[in-house]
Order: sequence, then C-alpha cells, then structure tokens
Amino acid sequence: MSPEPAGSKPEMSGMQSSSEEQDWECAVCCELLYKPVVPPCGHPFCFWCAHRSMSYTSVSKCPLCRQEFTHLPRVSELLHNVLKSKFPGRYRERARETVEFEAEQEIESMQTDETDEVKEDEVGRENTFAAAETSPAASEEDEAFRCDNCGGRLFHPSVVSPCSHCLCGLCSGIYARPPKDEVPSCASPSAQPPLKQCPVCDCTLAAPPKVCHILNDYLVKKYGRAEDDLGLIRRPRTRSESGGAKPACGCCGGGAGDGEAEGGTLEGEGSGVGEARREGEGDINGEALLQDRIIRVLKSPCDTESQENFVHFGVGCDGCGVCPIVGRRYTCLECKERIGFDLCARCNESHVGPGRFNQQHRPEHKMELVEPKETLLHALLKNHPGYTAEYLIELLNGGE
Amino acid sequence: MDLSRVQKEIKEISLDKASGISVRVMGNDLTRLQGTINGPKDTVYEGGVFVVDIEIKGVYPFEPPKMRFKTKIYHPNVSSQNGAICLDILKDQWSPALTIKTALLSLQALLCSPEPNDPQDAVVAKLFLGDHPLFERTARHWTRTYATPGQETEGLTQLLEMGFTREQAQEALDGAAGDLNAAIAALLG
Repeated sequence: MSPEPAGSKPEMSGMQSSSEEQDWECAVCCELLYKPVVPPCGHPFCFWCAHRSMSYTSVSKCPLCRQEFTHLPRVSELLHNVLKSKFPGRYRERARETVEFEAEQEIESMQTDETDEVKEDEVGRENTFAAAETSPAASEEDEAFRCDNCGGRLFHPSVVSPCSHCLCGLCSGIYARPPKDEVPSCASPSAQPPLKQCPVCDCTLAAPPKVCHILNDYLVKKYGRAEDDLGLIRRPRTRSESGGAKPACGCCGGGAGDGEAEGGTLEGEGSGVGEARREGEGDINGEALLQDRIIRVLKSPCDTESQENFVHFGVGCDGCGVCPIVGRRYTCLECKERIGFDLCARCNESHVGPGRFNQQHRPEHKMELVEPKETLLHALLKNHPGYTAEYLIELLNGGE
Repeated sequence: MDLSRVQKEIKEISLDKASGISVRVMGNDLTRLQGTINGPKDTVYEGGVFVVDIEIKGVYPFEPPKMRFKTKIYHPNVSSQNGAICLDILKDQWSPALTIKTALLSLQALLCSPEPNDPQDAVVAKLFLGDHPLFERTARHWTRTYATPGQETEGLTQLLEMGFTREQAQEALDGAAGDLNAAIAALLG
C-alpha cells in the first residue's frame, strides 16, 4: 500500500512535524493551530475549524469533549502570539494556506494584527517575518505569558469565551490566596460564584471558564506550577450538590494534584454543563449564565410567536459570536460583505468594530431589526417536536 | 475536502501494525477508500478479514465518512443484505475530531460487542437474542465462507465435488448455518 497516494509534495513540513509541534495541533484539521479560538471547555481549534464544526441550527458541541457551547469565540491573541513565535516558519505557512482558503471561499476570518503582514508578504516581501521573529523571541515569549487582567505571572490559564482574554487562576476565581493568619489547616477558602463577566472587558461570559490544558501543560513544563510556588488554594466547586464538595486544599494536598486530579474536580466532562444548567433553571432573575438561556431555548419546542425565543437559523452574531442568534436580531444595511453583518439584541446596544469575519462595520452604520419570519424549518420543527433541526435538514436534503 | 488530513490519516493507519486494521486508496482522488478489519480474537468473527467500503465526501471531517461492509457479515448491527452499518458515531454522534482510524476501530469494537437492542438487521438481532447458539454457528459459518480469503470451506468443496453449482451449494450451506448434512438434505429434498 502506498502511504502517500498523491505523492506530489512528500517533503512538506506537515509530514515531518516535530513532536512539540504536535502538541499544538488542531484536533480537527490535524495541522498546527492557526488563529486559535477556545470554547469554554478549554480545547483550542483553528478559527475556521471551530466555525465549521459548529451547528448553525442548534447547540454546538466541542469536537473533543462534546461539552455544549453556543458562541464562536474571538481569536485568542495570546495563543496566536505564542504559536507565531514558537513556530515562525510553519505558522506563516498556515497563514498563507488560510489566506488561500479564504480567497477561494470569498470569506475572511477575524483579523489579527499580523494578518495584514502576511497579506503584504503575499505580494512580495519574503522571509522578513521569520527573520524578525527568531532572535528576540525567547525573552519576548516569557513576557507574553501574563494575565490579561492583573498582568501577573500566567498560571492555570483560562481563555474566557467569547472575548478570549486570558486569565490567570486567581483572576478566573479557580484559585484563592491562602488566608492571612494561616496556620496550615484544612479550612478551605470560600467558594466563589462562577465568573460571569470578563474582568478585562466587562463582557458577559458565555460560560464559566475552564483551564486551557494545552497552554497550561506548556507553562507547567516551562516554569513549573505557580499555584504551588505561591501556595495558592484551589477553591471548592460552587454548587456542591453535583458530585459532592471536594474542598481542594493546599495543606493537605487536595488541590496540589496533577492535571488528572484537576480533571476530577473541575474539568469533569459534562458535569460543568449539568451544573450550569441546574443553576440556569433555578434562576429567574435574569442571572442565568448567558449560554444557559440560549441552550434552553434551542432545546425547547420551536416557538415563533415570541420574539424573545425566536431562533434565527443559520445566522450568528458578529459581536459575541452566538450562533444561531436567539431573540431579536439586527442586521446592518450598509455592510457590503457577502456574509452580512448581524448582531443579537445584547450586542446591538454595545458592539462597535469589525465583525467575526472582518466585515468593515462602523458604529455609524444603520442597523435594522429583522422581523422574525417563519421558515420551512420552523414549521417542520413545530409540527414534529420530537425531531432535531439537523435531522429534519438531513431529511430535506434527501439523506438516508 | 481536507486532502492533507486524509493523507495523514492513511499514513498513520499504515504505520500502526498492531491494531488489525488497514486502509487503501481506491482510484486517485481519495474519495473512495477500502478498509479492512481483522475479526477480533475470541469472537465468532475471529480469523475473518472484513472489507469495509469507505466514501469520503467533500465536507469531511465535518460530516462522517460513509462506511459499509463489503464482506458479508452476520451481525445484529450490520445489514446481512447490503452491509449497511448501524453505529452512532457514523451518524449523529460523529465529531470532526474522530478519524477514519477511530471509526474502523469502533467497528472492530462493535464486532466484539454487538448491540442487539439497536439493530440494523432485525432478523439477525432476533436470532442473537432468541437462539444464541444458532446465531454463533451461523456467524462463524459466514466468517469462514465470506471473510476468509482464498479458503473454501470443506463443506463447499464437498458439495462442489458432488456436482452442485457454486450458487446452489452456497445457498444451501447458508440456509443450514454451515451444517453439511442439513445442506445436503436440503439440496436433495
């Protein structure tokens, strides 16, 4: 059997990626991550891989852990910069591949500062990028690992969704400083309600953050565990009814386990979702987590009467990235891009700047409320409440 | 389609000699592959090599590859008529982080532990639950007959020697779950 059937470019770097590069591969395209986005579960994917993995009609699931999410996050600048300085040549190649893909599809991904550089490169300049990156990278890289909120050493990092600011374990509320008059004891720090707003930009978080393991593993390998060095204490889980309270404690070693122990306490698959949902359901004061309310509507029977529960199938918000938009939807009358520019009710009040797909939207552009219009899919869903939108679409497409 | 990912996947499968699966490219555009699965040890499929037709569509990996057994196999979750497979990860539980390899490995696992309560072939599933020994005999017979390369079963050889055509002999043996005497009785009866 020939392992390389095409055989045209056997020497491409993709085939001989180093083991370190493999640590930073996207689980969907199996290439080096490019323009990484991180859903609340903490698993990074390329912008386009995440976007194309999402459901346009219902709740999306992480390709790796299947945790539900509803927002296409922004590109993480921190991860983007790390990748760019660690693998300058390959990252540039990925940039070029992506630019080609985008030209073919006539779409654009969210822009980062460097994309323009690559585009200029396309026109003429060669190799300046790589040369500029290699020499000062080492110290600059250390400098890059800072918490976006407190500016301190980055440890137990979570990339919060949808704004993609990167928080340290203290700012995300997963760790706490030990009490001042501390005599080693098992007195655990108070539980903190899950983070609902990004402390950097005040945007409403889609879901409470979880650690980004790929980045955490790298930081631990390189700098050790800051949470141990600083004697920090892992906070107990907020709602103890799920899985029993396990107060993590620095002094008895409860919180000082390795990644696997963490898996048990915080990153337990699916439990985070269940937990969040419980809270959402019990909460009637509009305090529910953003993602929760949307998931609840998406899983409820189709309702086209109420404007608040109307689902705009196939349309995402260019502000917070929620897809599909649930509730009021506004569309820009002036953006020329083929993909259009839409906002959810929440973002229509605050959002400025370019869209998720680099639409050149300006605050002065005129936005218009889109009247909810019942589609065939809405009608089918109302008549067949037992079926999912995906299944009905497959039927419409004549699937098996 | 993500060509480079499919190429990488094929290469990775070819490097893994221990898992008992393989894949090869049919044609030259990577949309049609053929996988093989070695029947797992201590099952009625042991000793068999099962060929799976794989179709990779343009949207792969965002939609699952289409898989179908080309080799006839007697299994509650596989159609005994056309090889269609009932396995959740090939349908709504697919995730773009899964691969052709993980799908083939899942099929191998399905051979180890059939799910008769979520059947593809109701007749096979009924036999699996109702008359398990007969199910096992039939499945073993199918494995020997259809999934063992270059090897005719003794029964078939004898029937051919007795002058029956291959089709007649095969049909009678299948109907008798591989029991030669019963097959002869059926043919002469």
